[in-house]
Amino acid sequence: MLNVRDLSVRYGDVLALEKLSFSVDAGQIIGLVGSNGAGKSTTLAAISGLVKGRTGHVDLAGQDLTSLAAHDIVAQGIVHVPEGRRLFPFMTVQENLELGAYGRAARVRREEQLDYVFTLLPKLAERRQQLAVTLSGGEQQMVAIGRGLMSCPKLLMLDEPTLGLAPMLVEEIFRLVRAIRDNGVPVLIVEQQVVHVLECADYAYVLESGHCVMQGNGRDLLQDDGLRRAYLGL
Amino acid sequence: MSLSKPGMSRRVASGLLIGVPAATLLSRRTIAQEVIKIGAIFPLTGANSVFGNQNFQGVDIAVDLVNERGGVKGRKVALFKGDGHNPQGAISETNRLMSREGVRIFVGSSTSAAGMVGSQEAERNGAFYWEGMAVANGYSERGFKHAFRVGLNASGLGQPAPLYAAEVVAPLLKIDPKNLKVAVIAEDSAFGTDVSKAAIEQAEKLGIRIGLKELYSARTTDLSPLVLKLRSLAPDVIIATQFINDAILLQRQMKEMGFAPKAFIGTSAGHSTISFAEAIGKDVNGIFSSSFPLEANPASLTAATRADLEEFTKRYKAKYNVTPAVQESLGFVVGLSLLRDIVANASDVTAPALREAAVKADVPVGSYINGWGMKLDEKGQNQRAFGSVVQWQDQRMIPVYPQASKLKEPIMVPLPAWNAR
Amino acid sequence: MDIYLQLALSGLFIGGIYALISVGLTLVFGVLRVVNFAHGEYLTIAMFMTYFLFHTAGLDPFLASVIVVPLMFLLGLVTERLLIRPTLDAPHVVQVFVTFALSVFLQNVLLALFTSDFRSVRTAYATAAFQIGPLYVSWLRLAAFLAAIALAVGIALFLKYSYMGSAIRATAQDRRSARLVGINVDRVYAITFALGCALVGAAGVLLSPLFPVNPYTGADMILVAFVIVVLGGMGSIGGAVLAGLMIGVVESFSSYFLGGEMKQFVYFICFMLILAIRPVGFFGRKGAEVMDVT
Repeated sequence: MLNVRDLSVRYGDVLALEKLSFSVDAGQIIGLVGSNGAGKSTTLAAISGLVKGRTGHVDLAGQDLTSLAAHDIVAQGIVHVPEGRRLFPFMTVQENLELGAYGRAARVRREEQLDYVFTLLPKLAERRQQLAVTLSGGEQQMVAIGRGLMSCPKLLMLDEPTLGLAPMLVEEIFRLVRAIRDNGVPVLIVEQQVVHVLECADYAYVLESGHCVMQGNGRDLLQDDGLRRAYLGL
Repeated sequence: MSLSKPGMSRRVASGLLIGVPAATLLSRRTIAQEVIKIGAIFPLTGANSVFGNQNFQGVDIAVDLVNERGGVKGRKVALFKGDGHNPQGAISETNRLMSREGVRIFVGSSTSAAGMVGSQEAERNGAFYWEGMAVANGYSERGFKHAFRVGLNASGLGQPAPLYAAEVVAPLLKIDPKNLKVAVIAEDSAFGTDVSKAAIEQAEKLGIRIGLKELYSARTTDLSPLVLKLRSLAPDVIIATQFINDAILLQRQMKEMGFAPKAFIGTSAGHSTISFAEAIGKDVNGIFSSSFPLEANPASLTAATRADLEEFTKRYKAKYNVTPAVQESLGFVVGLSLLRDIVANASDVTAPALREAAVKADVPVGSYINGWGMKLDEKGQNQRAFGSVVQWQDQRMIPVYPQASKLKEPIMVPLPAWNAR
Repeated sequence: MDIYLQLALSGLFIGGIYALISVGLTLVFGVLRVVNFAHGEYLTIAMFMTYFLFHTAGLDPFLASVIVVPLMFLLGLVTERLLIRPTLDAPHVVQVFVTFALSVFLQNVLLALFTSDFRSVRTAYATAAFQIGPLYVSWLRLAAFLAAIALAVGIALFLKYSYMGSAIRATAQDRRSARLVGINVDRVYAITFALGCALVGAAGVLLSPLFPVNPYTGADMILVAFVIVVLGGMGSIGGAVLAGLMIGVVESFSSYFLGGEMKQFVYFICFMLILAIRPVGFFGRKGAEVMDVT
């Protein structure tokens, strides 16, 4: 449903991403892996309209998104949960979630989606009146993902959702990612936890200095010697 | 405190915006060699620009008139604007006019802040400074050779109020002047402090006791604490040195709090402005204002001066579309005295020659449209300039003091209730 | 005792107006991160509008607000689009230059149009007052105070409970995230800036019957607003209201007990003392990053 063709991003003189092409289909978890600076986060930011100077073509279910502004892309159904959670720190959990449903279409279904998020993430229900800034890292990540789900997205993009989390929480996040996919929302995930993401991804792309150097089924890639040496130190 | 800096440089910037194009325009128009260049240092922008522009326009009319009557010894006079909206502005504009336009004669300055430094720059560079409005006593206490003042000093501006209180108001109130309870209030710039000091000294000479002396900032937005103080003192007479907006504010807040003295004597500059009367309407009636003279009793003027007065009023209305008042006519007097009685009588237009002419000048009272004459003392202060007192009657300023320029008897002493004026 | 009450009352009344001027300034700073040096000139413009509506159409200032405030909102939209938006990504010094230049420009335009004469709106009720026991209460100042506080509370409620309000707060707290939840951040900037202008416009309307206006009136009043914004915590509306009222009362007491020429000095001392104890102001938070409407 998401089609990315020849996506390039240039920051001044630096080519951060060069002619990347990939797609995400319904019911899939797609992983983007690679070392720091490989262009993973840039890819997400380019799709969600946050970076200027992008070229190439992006469409969602046939709808051309290439020239839309960030808020219009959200309205089209692509939600980007940024690295580092980036919650609204001095708003409550509930206010953060409600803002997730800011778009005109999402507003109508706000209460319904709020119930859905609280069923999916029951811990948040207990903390709904707490300020975001007072939450633990794991809880903040839950809110960030929950906020993303509030707009009933057609595609969820997660940037480093497990960054800085304890191993137990990492497991929990990946369980959540699978649950979201199983509830019908495909997920495009950028991660440094290569093993986890490859185990869970239906398909994955390996980026290196702005290029895609390898792609394939997650479990197949895990067996690849080159990749194991480069990213897992094995 | 650094927060005040933006305001300052803003004024400098706005000064440049206004001042420069105007001056260049003039300089292009008058390139002829024999032109006599006069620099005019006035606050043309900023808080005091009301007075600055009125004064400047008066000078401007004087220059027009002199030029039309054939100039000074056949030479045309050109006026160059310099925006002395604050001391820094006055310094830089005086220097700019000297170095860029070759101006050697200056008039000014509406505010003491500008006049003190403008004259200093001129003196340092051997140029001539003709002050008419700045009243700071210190102006003529510096031993400058080429700085003169045809207008009043602070004493001259501050003295009439207590004199009038003692001579006229006290008898009308049936109170012995020595028992008169007087409050002196003033805005806290050099103008307010100097003039109120002069008023207090004069009052003390007359044996009047000052019950309250209070300074405040003219930029204030609330004078009710001051009104409360006044109310608890309940003075017979208030003598106030104020600018326009604070003068308006004080009257309004006194009314709000239902307080009025038996007589209110302003010592300018706010109390003799049309803006003041417009803002408070009928409440202005009965208020006295001592200031530069508004208009002289025609009988006290020479025939030529009466003609000047008519000419000035006609030209001013034609050029600026309003009836000239105190500050405008003062500007005219300053301009005319300089050109007709100093420059025209000097052997050349250098500062020493002008000084010689100034020291020699002996112009009888009644030779200028406000009734003044000119005799400059050794410090450069005009001895034939005097203040006067007007009273607002029927929302118009009526001269009531001194005797020579009096047009009507004072009314409303003691001041009636607020709604009965 | 009466005198203390009277002073407190006068201080609160004027403080309410200070607060209203400051709320617009702090709102714009909190959301756009732009210090609007032309804020004072917008106050002046609103006062001139009120003056001319009063003098040409005979419109009472309180009625004139129905015209002036929307016009000021519109003027804010235009300014944002033409001057502020193009510089939002530029270094701070550029924004400072732009708003500063705007301030000088507007002053000179007003000067050219209206000269520096003081103009007054003189209403029949300008100096009407009533007495409660020993206290004199000016109707106009009371009304201005109540309107100012009502507007400040109204704007706080708007920010807290409306969609646009939460979008404004969200943008203040994290503009990137605001984009990612679908907020049109450019629109939020435009509306916030316009709201700031509308608020200072309302302050101008309320001030008109109290003070004469000339092209420098706003510039003279804006210094205290900057002090209030910093004291309240940059971007904090509640802080601006509290600091505004406080400065009003401090001014009132200091001019009574220490003399009118001391009042600026006294509030600057308070200002420095409070900032020494609490560098972020009353309700400010680290790095002035956050807008808070409590």
